[in-house]
Formats: sequence, structure tokens, C-alpha cells
Amino acid sequence: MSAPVPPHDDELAGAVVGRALHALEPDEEDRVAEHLRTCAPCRAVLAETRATMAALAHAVADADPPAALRRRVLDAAAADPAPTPPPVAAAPEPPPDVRVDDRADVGTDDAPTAPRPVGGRRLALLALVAVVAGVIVFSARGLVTGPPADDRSVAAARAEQVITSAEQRDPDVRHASLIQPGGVVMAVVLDDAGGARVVPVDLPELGPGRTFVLWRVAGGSATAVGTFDPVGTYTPTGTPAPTGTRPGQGAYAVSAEPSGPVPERPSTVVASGPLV
Amino acid sequence: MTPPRAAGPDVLEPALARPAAGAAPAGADVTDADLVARLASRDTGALDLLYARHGRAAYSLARRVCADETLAEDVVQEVFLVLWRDPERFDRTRGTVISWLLTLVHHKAVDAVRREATRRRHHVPTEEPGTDAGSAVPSADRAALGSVIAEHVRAALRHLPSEQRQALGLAYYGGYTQREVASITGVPIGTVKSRMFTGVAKLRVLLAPVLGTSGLDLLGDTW
Repeated sequence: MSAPVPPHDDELAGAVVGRALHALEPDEEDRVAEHLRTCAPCRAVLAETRATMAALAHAVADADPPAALRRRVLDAAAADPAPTPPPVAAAPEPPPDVRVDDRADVGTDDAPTAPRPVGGRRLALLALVAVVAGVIVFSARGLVTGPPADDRSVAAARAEQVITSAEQRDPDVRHASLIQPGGVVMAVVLDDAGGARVVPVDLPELGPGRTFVLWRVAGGSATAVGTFDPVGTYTPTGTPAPTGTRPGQGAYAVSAEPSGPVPERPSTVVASGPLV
Repeated sequence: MTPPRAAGPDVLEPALARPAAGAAPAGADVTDADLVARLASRDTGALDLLYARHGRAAYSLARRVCADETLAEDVVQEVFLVLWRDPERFDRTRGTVISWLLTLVHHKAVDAVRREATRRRHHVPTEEPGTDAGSAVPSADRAALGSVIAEHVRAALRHLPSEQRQALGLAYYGGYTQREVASITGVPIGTVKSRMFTGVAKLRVLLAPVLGTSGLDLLGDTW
């Protein structure tokens, strides 16, 4: 087996290997992802490295999974709703754990499809994080306040992946990244012809007897459009979006409320973000 | 060492094990790729077989990276549900199911530990996994081929210069980023990248006998 050699310096070649190891920082992840889209030799390196790394998995200490895990997997599969055939504009969003990690898909990097503005969106999202958090996120030395940089960056990356995945299925989908005061993306709202739905990214703890309420904010008013629990199960309220607003405009916010009837106004807003 | 498993309806086939002579499991003549294709028609039996074949390897890797059994279980469930929901993500022209699956397990496990902020886990796995007590000796239920491959991989790791082995071990088994590896090892990040690239290139050569159709592929697609 001959080892492909990328036509680049060691730094970039090492970064490609780092991507196969899932060992890049988010900013570099974007840079390498963009490069891979146009560099077949590096994609070959990536694929070979992944195959080599997968072999390393066989060297770990053998561990029996709990017997109940098999049943858990099968039960979860049985309970999983069947995918709706295309067109997918009104298809329900699969739970977030499916979509937020497309980078892990071996095929994703090796067979690039339409160019995606990954880096640009990530930067925009991080900039939005900075604004919402009310802090200067980046300085010359990195993150200066708030939660650990990794938390914010990882959540931003996951949100970006959710959005990218949704856009691949429906280019017209609108989205809002719901950002918490500390700057961590809590969830992404995907808004299309089928209505709004929530894809959790990094949900905060929610005490017993409480639920999250999703509010559509437009025209100076907030309308509760759905509720979701700590695992992200979303239930629409059936209330239409505020009158006098056009689809795709406004923002979304999330409040933490006692379980039961949805209040008329949000009490404790825990995250928000503009609909774009 | 993993204790011998008792017989019973819930007992899983070891991921790396081939069936003992005369004990071919149900679906033994079906390839992994064919099983994945059957998932598109919501065939839970196919998913069950895939789990029986690879659930153990998936869990072992997830547990190693996560250093947390609960997290590892979540990762394994998540990975198999990814496969269930979107089997088209696997492209049989680009590799074996087991390689794809383990790559996904690794990524999900790394994401999980980062997300859970437990990445500063209880140990810093700078050593190759073969130095673990218990992993150096093949478990009782691991069949010959799996043992041979595992030992081959461990031997390959031992052949690497220690600094390359450490860099790759921290990233792959520990889930650390290259920048973090640089910080832990006290060398520039460029040096870390160079060590990783060189280390992977050497591993690729050392593992060639098991990376081809004579080795890992056998475990995956020609069960």
C-alpha cells in the first residue's frame, strides 16, 4: 500500500491528518474543510488516515457492552419515525444527534458536493455569539470571558452543521441560532413551510417540573409557538406567527417556564437569536 | 480481561470474533454492506446483526475515549441510530462498514467528552492501548483473527518513536486537539502536526497487511 503524499507543506499535511483524528480546533477545521473540497491528494490522505485510525480502534482493551444496550439500540430504532421521502420541505427534522456531526461521515469529505459557506457562517455565528453574549469573544489571546472557548466554539460548530445539513435538504429553510447569555448556542430553530422546529445543540439544565418555551418575536410582540423538554422533544402550540410579519423575519427566543399552560409572556429568557 | 460470556438470547457476538467452527451465527453469509443496504427498508433484523457484529468494537472504542461507561453507551446508541436513519451515508466503494462505523464512533466519542467537559478525563492515555492490563492478553471469547489483528496493531504502535506514539495516542484515544497535544507535550503545534503525519505514515506501512483485504476487511464485509 503506497502512502499518498499531499503536495503541501508539513503544516497543512499535519492538519489534514488532524482532521482525520478529529483533532482540529474549529477555526482550523474550517480551513482544512475548504481546502479538501478542491484538493484530491489531500482527500486521499484523509481517507487513508481514517482507515489507519480505524485500525487503531481494534487495539483498545476489549469491553463487553451492557446487554441492555442492544435492546436500547433496537428500541430506539423501532421508535424512530420513518423518514419522509423527498421533497423534504415539510419533513420533520430528525433528532439532532443524527445531523450535527456530518463531518464524521467518512463520505462527506471524500466526495464534496456543492460548496458550502462553512467558514463564513461559522465566523458569522461566532460574531453573533459575541454580540449576544455582550462580550468581546476574541482577543489576540483568544477568548477572554464567559464559558470556556471550546464550549462556545464546539456549540457554534454543531449549530453550523445542523444548519448546513438542513440547507442541504431544503435550501430555503430559515434558521435562528439561539444563543445563551454566556455565548453558547443552545439550539437551532429551523423554520420552513412546515413550521418551526427545534434542534438542540447544548441545552442547559432544566429543573423538574419545568419546560422550555419557544417564542417567535416579531413586530414588538412575542408569541409562544412551541415547547420542548430537556431532550429536545418539540411540541408546537399551534399558535400562528404574529400577524403583520412576513415569514422569515424577526427572531426566536426561549424561556424556561413551569410545566403546564404556556404563559402569555416569557418569564425567564434563556436564549435568543435572529431569524435569518 | 473480559470474562467469558454466558449463553443466552441477549448475548452478543463479539465484534471482532469470527464464529467458532460449526457455530455460524444467523446471517453469517451476509456482508455488512448488504446489511446496511437493508436498513433502508427499515429492517431491524439487519440492524440487530450489525450491532451483534460490531457493537462490541464500537463500545470498546467509545469507552476508551470517553472514559465513562454511560457516555460510551450513549455514543454507541447514537452511532447505530445514525446508521439506521441514514444508511446512505455509508458508501461501500470507499471502505468497509466497520472502518466507517469506528470512525463515526471515534468522532462521536470525542464530541461527547468535549461536550460533557470531561475531556480532562481521569487519565492521560499517552501509552499505546496494548499496555493496558487485560488488553495485552486476548480475551477468552476473541477469535483468532481478531486477536491477530489487535496484536498487529499494538505491535505497530510499539514500533513508532515514543513522541509520535504519544501525539497520536493523545489525539485518538484521548480526544485532544492538536493544540492541546502541543500544550500537554510542551512542543510547538507544528511539531505535533509533523509527528502525527509521520506517525500515521509509518503506521500505514506497518499496518498494510491488515489494512488490505486480508485483514480488517475480512472482519467487516466478508463475515
